[in-house]
Order: sequence, then C-alpha cells, then structure tokens
Amino acid sequence: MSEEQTLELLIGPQHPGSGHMRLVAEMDGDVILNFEPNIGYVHRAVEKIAETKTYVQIIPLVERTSLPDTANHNLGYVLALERLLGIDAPLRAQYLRILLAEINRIHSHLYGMGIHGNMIGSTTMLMWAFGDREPFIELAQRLTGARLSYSYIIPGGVRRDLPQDFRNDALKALSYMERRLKDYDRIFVHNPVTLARLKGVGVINRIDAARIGVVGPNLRASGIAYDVRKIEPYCIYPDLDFEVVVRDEGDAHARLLVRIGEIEQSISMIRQILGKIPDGSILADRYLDLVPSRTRFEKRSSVKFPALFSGLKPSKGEAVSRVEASRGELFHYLVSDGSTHPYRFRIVTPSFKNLIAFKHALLGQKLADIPAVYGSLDYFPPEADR
Amino acid sequence: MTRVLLTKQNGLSITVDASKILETAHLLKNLKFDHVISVTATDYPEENRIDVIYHVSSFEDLELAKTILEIRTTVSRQEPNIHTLVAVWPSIEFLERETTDLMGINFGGREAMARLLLPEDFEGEPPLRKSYTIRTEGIDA
Repeated sequence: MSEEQTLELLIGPQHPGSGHMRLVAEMDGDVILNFEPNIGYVHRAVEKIAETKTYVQIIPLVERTSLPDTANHNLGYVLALERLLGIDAPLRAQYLRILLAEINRIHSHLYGMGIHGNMIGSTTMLMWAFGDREPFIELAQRLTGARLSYSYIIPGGVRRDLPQDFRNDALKALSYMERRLKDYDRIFVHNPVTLARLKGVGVINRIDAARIGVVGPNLRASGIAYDVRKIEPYCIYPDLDFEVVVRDEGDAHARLLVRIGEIEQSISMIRQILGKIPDGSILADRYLDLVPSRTRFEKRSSVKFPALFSGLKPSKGEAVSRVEASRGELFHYLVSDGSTHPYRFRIVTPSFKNLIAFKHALLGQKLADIPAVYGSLDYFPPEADR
Repeated sequence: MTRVLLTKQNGLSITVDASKILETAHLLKNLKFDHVISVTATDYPEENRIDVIYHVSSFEDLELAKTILEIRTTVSRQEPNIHTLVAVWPSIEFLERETTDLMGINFGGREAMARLLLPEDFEGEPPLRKSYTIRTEGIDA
C-alpha cells in the first residue's frame, strides 16, 4: 500500500492511558494495519544498578520496577537469593509471604481493572476499584508497616510477625470484597457498554498466545492453564486449595473475567492461610542466632536486620527463580562471583513479556479499540522498562 | 552440542557453540519447548567473552513446563555476532532487541530494528557491559 493511503499515527509518550510509552500505529482509515510499541521512557537500569548494590539493598530496588505489585517482585528476588545462599525460610514465614503476595495480587488486579474501566469511559469503575484497594493496602500496612513498598520478605524469612487482631480485620475485608465483586458485576463487568467495547475485541487465540509468549492472566484468558503457582509451586502453594482461572475466548473481556476470577481465588487462599497458619519462628535459625537480643526480638515480633545482612556473600554460582506475579510469570537470574554484589542480575518482568501482545492483538482493530485492548492487558510501563 | 548438565534446581543446561544456536533451537522447538522466558548476556571482559544464555520452557506441554531449559553459548567481545532465533521463537523478539541495546550483541539474520529501550541516537559502549562507566553527579563529578 502506498504512503498516501496510510497514515502513521503517533500516540504518546505522554500517558496514552496509563504510564509512559509511545505507540506507533499505521492506519488505513480507522483500521490498524501495523502496530509498534516503543518503550524505555521509564527505564531506570535496575540490572546495572544492582551490580553496584549489596544483596540486601537490591530488595527495595526490585520493588521499584513494579510499585503496584511489590510483594511478588520482592518474593521472586529473595527466592533466587535464597537458592544462592542455600537457605530456607521457616514454615510460618512461608505462610506470611504468601499471605502478603495474595493481598498484593488483589489490590494489583483492582488497580488494573480500575485503569481499564477508566480507559473505556467508566469513571465509576476507576473510583470503586481504587477505593476498594484501600482495605487491602491497609491490611498490608498492618502487616509490613508500608502501604506499597513493603520490603517485607528477607533472606531466611520475613521482617514482622502477624499483628494482633489482623485475622478479624482481614476476614472483614474479604467479605467486603466479595460483596463488592457482585456490585462490579452489575455495574461494570456485564454492563452492555462494557460488553460492546470488550467482547470479541483484541483477540489472542490459544496458538498465538503460546507462540508470542504472553504471560499471566493474558495467557490464561487464551485457554492455557499455565500458572507458576501450579507448574512449579513455591512456598506453601502446594498446601493451598485453589483453581487456575482459565477462559477460552482470548478477548479483552475474557482477560477482565480472569482477573476477577483470580481475586476470588486469592480471597479463598487468604482465608485458608489465616485458618491454618502454624506457630513458629519468622526467621531461619541460622540468622536468628545473629540477631543481637533474641528475647527482645521475640517480644517485638519484628526483625532488625542482623549486621551480617549488609555483608551477605553468597558462594560463587548461579540461581534462577520464577514466581507468578500479578501480571504473570516473573523471572530472576542471579550470577554471583562470591562477592557482596551480584556479578550479573537479570529480571524479566511480566509486562515486558506482554508487550508483544500489543503488536498482535490490535491488528485489524479500530483506533477506538486501542484503550479497550491496552487496559485489558494490564500493561504497566515501569514494570516493562525496569 | 558440547555439554548437557543437570543444574542444581532440576533444570537442564545445554552448552553449544554459537554457530550451532539456530540448529539447537529448531531441535528444542520440535521437543515442544515453545517459548523463551529470558535472554541474558553476561560480560566477562578479562576473558574477552560474553555469555549469551537463553531460558526456554513450554506452554503447550505442562509437564515440560516444570523445567526451565538453559542454553548457554559464548561470543567474543569484539565480534558479538549470533544468529537470531526470532523465526523459531517469535516470543524472543523484544528480549533480543533489549540485549542488542544494552549489551551490544548483534543478532544476525533479521531485519535491522530500531532501538527499544535506549534513545534512538544513542552511541557508545553498551551500558550493561562491565567497561561502561557510570558518570557520577555532584561531589564526584
């Protein structure tokens, strides 16, 4: 097709909806012929910076890649580090880790749904979802002391024990969320406008989804039951009863429904955790013995970093970890040369893997479908750029 | 294929010559390793080499998905050339482009692509190489 007939349309880099990226669309009328995402506007060189930081300093650093989903990023990194160190966290700490990871998954999915709603003109969904994140952010704050950047999971355990009467407040928040999901369903999820905007739009079929390697809810909405929590279960996932939410349609609406299904599963998982969390220590004995006053530590139920952590030296070697973060499979790869800094640190985030979906899901769609598809992918630019 | 190793975490690691990478990828694709999780390049300036490490797995075969397969290969720092795998695994597209930007690896056999993460007019040492020095601001400058 000659240049006169097509139009190159530049969208962004200033917030084409959420976050900083540029989209270059080749248009024939209002039909998209070619679509090329252009990223890097929020690249912070996390991998390079990590080479200059001690292992413990990298915990807050990896959280900055994805502020809506810090617990899972924190967990993925610490699992890789623990494999290098050859240490395991005690069972109670494993429960607390997954408790926080699932609380985080709920408020991260709400974040994505709110933005998605806003992108297709439902301000109500934005306000509701962001309002309903609060009880969960509040729970996370009770547990960790921070609203978003928890740095809660440390090598060998977690920083704090479960606060008193956390359980009751958590159960209240979970029942509240269950009621709210019914409201969402009525007002947004099966609203005729939402259905018209999302059904059959931005379809990624099963074969393409595997071929282009999308991850997380976007993959499961295309009919592939791949969830790291089942495929390579870590921490206490083998002890929890939950289902992998899968849909076959592969369209923008299916991706929304998978996220809602996952919120329901997370609610059930948190109930199970609160019901059967065992007593015990929250830090591995190997490190606990190094905490200055063991008795004071046990009364306070929180960990002051043992001095050893600042000079943590894993033995020479390599370790990989993968976890199911809210947006999909998160991969960490650490190379240690036996010093206090990693020789090489590699993160592949789910948003970076999902970037390729823009190139495929939007072909042949209308210009006006871009926000509907963009929002459905729950793409978070800082997480992709790292 | 020069070496096959079982890694500590029940993963499998294959070391191949850089010239054999395309062949190896085809072989693994036929064994249902259908997507690439990660491409990592690690710079070893003293030994004048860059290791290129691919981590691949499967979505179609969920038994196979339990394994992360590692493919290791080495290129020289002066001529960091290796064949692209984008025709075998389309999921590698942005991973290769990122590695070109940040580590200066040339993935031959594919059309030249615009920069992905770095500014389009970026020139000089690829920033993830060990020889790239970070300019400091403030009192050190």
